[in-house]
Amino acid sequence: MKKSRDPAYRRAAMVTGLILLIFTGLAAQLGNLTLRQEAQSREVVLAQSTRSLPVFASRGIMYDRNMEPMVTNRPANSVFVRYPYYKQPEVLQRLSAILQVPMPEIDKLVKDKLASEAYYDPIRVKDDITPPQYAAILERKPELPGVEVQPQPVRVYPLKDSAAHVLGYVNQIGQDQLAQLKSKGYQPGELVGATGLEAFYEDVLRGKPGIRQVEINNYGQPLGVVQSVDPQPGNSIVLTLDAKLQAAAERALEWDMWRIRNTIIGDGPWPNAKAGAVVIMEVKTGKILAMASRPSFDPNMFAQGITQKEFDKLQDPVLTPELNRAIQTAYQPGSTWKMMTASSALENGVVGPYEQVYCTGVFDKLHHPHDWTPYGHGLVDTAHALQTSCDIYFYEMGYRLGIDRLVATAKEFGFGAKTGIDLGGENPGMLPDAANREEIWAKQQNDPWGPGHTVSAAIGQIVNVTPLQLVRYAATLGNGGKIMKPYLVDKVVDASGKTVQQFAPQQMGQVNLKPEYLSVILQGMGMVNAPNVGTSDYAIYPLPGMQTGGKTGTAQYPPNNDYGFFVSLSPLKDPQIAIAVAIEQAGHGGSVSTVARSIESFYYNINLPDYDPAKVPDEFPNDLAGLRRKFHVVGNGQ
Amino acid sequence: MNLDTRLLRHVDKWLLLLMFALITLGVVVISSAARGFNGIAHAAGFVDKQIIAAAVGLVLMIVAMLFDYEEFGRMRWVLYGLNLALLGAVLVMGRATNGAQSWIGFGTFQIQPSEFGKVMLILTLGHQLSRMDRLTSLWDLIIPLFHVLPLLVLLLLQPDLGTALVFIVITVAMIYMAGFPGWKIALMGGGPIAAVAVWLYAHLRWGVKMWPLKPHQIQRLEVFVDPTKDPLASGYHVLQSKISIGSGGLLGRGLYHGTQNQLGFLPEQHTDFIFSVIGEELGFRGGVVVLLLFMALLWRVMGIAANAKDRYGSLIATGVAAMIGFHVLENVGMTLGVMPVTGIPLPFISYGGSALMANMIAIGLVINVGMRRHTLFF
Repeated sequence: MKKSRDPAYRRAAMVTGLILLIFTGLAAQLGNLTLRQEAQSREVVLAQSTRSLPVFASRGIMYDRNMEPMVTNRPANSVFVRYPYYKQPEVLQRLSAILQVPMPEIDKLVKDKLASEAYYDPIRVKDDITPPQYAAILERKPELPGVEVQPQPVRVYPLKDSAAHVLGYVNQIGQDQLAQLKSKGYQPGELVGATGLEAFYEDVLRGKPGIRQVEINNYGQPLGVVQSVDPQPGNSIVLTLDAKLQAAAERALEWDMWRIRNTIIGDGPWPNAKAGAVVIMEVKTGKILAMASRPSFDPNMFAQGITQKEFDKLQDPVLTPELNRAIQTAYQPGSTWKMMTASSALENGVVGPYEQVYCTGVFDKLHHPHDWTPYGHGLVDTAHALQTSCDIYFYEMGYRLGIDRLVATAKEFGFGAKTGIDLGGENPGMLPDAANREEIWAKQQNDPWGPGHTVSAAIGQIVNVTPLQLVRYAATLGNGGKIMKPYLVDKVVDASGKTVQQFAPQQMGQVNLKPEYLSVILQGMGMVNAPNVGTSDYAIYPLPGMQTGGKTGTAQYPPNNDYGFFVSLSPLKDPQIAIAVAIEQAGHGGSVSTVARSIESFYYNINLPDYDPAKVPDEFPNDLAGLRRKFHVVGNGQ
Repeated sequence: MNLDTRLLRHVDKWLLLLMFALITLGVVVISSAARGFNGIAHAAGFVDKQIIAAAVGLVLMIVAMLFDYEEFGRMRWVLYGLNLALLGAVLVMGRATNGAQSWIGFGTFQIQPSEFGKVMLILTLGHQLSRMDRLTSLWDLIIPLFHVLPLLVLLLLQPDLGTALVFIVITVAMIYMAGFPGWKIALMGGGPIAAVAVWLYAHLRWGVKMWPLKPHQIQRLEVFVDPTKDPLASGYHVLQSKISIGSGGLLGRGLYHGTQNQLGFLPEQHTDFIFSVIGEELGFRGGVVVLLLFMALLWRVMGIAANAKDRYGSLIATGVAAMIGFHVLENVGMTLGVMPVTGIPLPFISYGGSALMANMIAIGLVINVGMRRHTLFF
């Protein structure tokens, strides 16, 4: 009998075939796992068998120009939970109780982590735990498998809300950002600069994270260090800011806003004067000595965990505390713009420096826009027009120049473009150049540009400039027309204090204005502040022992109260510092000049007389009635 | 005992060689797996016990070889009774591990009766089937069904679902070998599998109760469908096993150098998940060698089934092939994540005396069948 006919043989062959089939399938899946998924499996194996937590480098410190630390680090501990233990609800519940982090918050962290590709990376549950929390975790270690405490420096802002907008703050790196920055070696949980200098100098300030990798067994017991790389601290930066001057400027701004809100000034009080900015620039170098914006916030609260109330306050749509008004808000500068118009008129020869224009109080060449004072100023030349802030004179200049020549000079001064300061989010401002006139006035507002617009632009309406642009403009006038680039970082130093990089002053351009014309304009600015005759507060409360130059500005922001501006140069002969002040809803510009005088008295160490409102009290007084008597109607500046 | 020493010349030496190769490989891998399970200091105890079990198994195997297998047929009622008694004893005096009672102990010595039960089933059911002239209609299955059913009931009471499955697979293979039409088996096999699939789907989707399965069994099935569902408990085993094998790559991390095994991330790595250790430490190459050894072994066994001198011999060999083959499929498939988790060891390799001895006895029986087909010609 042939074997193949034998039913037992046939059936045995069938069974053998089935076995062969099954084994081929098993071998195929074995090959799939070992040959195709090897790298992926290794990664998970390594992640769970090693406790690999990045050791973050401490970020560089920020010093002011006198090496006073403005941003530092403090040692602190963060709590992590490793994969796969973060999926154990008991562990999370115990942690939640110890750390006072609500369960839903932890659940969300876990959910996000599981949804991410790096689900086997540890979850960072809480930063900066308290010593009792640390002790509790150590004590209950056996009940908390996979829970790690890792030292991690916390960013500290010792000056609290001072210069907060300039310094910025850091955030824990987000999922999207992490993907973007992966090539730079960022680790989950690492701090990354979010705003201000923290963000702009991220690459300088960030150190290189180290690694501590320990092999652990199934029970999380460490068996030995596999790899250990020490972190490299980031470089520090020395700022051009003067922390004390910064504080003085902020205090002066706050005091003046308080004074404007609470006392009778002009038609005041003006209860909405709650926001403003001050910038102080070194005239010859472009170094920013102080940059303040109010209202402010304390960046420390981001590191310590922000409360709902604090968060709501930050979100205020009107006061926008996070907004750096010094560079991010473009205002109509009002009459502080008049030196610009004067420069343009003199440069273009449409008026002579001593040519007199008769101000009747009404500009009759157009539809009779009138001066801020109905009586007029009589015959005024350039300097006297600045002194009295005569609108009619500058309407006439705008009328003679036409908008194109006016804008050309403004561009020469650098308006309408970013200054290039080392901060992100700078507002370039806006000039009514041909493109904007077409786009904004003709198209968007259906209000085609005409001579009426031009004369308005000549007195600082319509145009938009930032306080930083204003201060640079004042400095340019005080620096022979040299335009210096404003900057905030003087040098980069390494951990040992050695200078790594030194930043030098940079001239960006030169305003083409005869020295003779420049001195006429400076003379006018001096007359603004001159005792008894000027339009600023300085006329009533001069700075003892120093001649200064300035210009007030008031811009209309209906239905809000008028915004007040002031630019200042001091001393008038060979100016050292330029100051720009902006206060929203200040009523008018005269009272704003008080801020500049406070700053100058601090900077030059000049004692102000007690009756000068620029003398900032240690504590803002409660006796409003007394104050109203003391600081009665002051200034009439436009 | 009627032994003709000339018979020994016809012992299948390849089968023996393959079996010893697997046992040796098993001892080597156990020496590594036991380190991970119990620490280096205590690893030697596992190796010693396994070698002793192999030695005892060798004696039992020789005994199983030397009796003419017809003798076992005559003893069928004794064997069947013993099988029932042992499985029943487990229920009464058993020790529980992993949610099932499958051990009985005498002092420090304990055995797992169900391992020997498989071999006894092969012997008794084989004899039963070999005497049946007609085995074509469903009615003809009543007798074998009543043969297996009491044993299955006892197993499900433990509950030891994995071993019950092995019993079923052995029975099905033997029925097929005895001449029952293959297409009917395919229909009958496909039906229950489809039913389980629908049931499982209904359970996951609408929470239909899965009586009479125990929670740990239901969980294993659920986790088989989605291992990430519970990566710390049941699914943990499967995920850990898969990444262990995956991390082995082509050549493995080297014996004693698999972190998954050595650091204790693999569960039951010296018993049920020993193939994961092979994958991690010996790689694709080691795993394929193991599969090829099993393949060759089963090839020899089925060759003996095809050439046995009578139907009983052929059925014994087939039952043994089905038993070992299904063990490999289920165990290796489980570690690879393509079969649900059941506590079934890898024959000859997993640590465990009862299984090793029972499997050696089974091979002894196959050799017995193989060497006696030649007696006709003497």
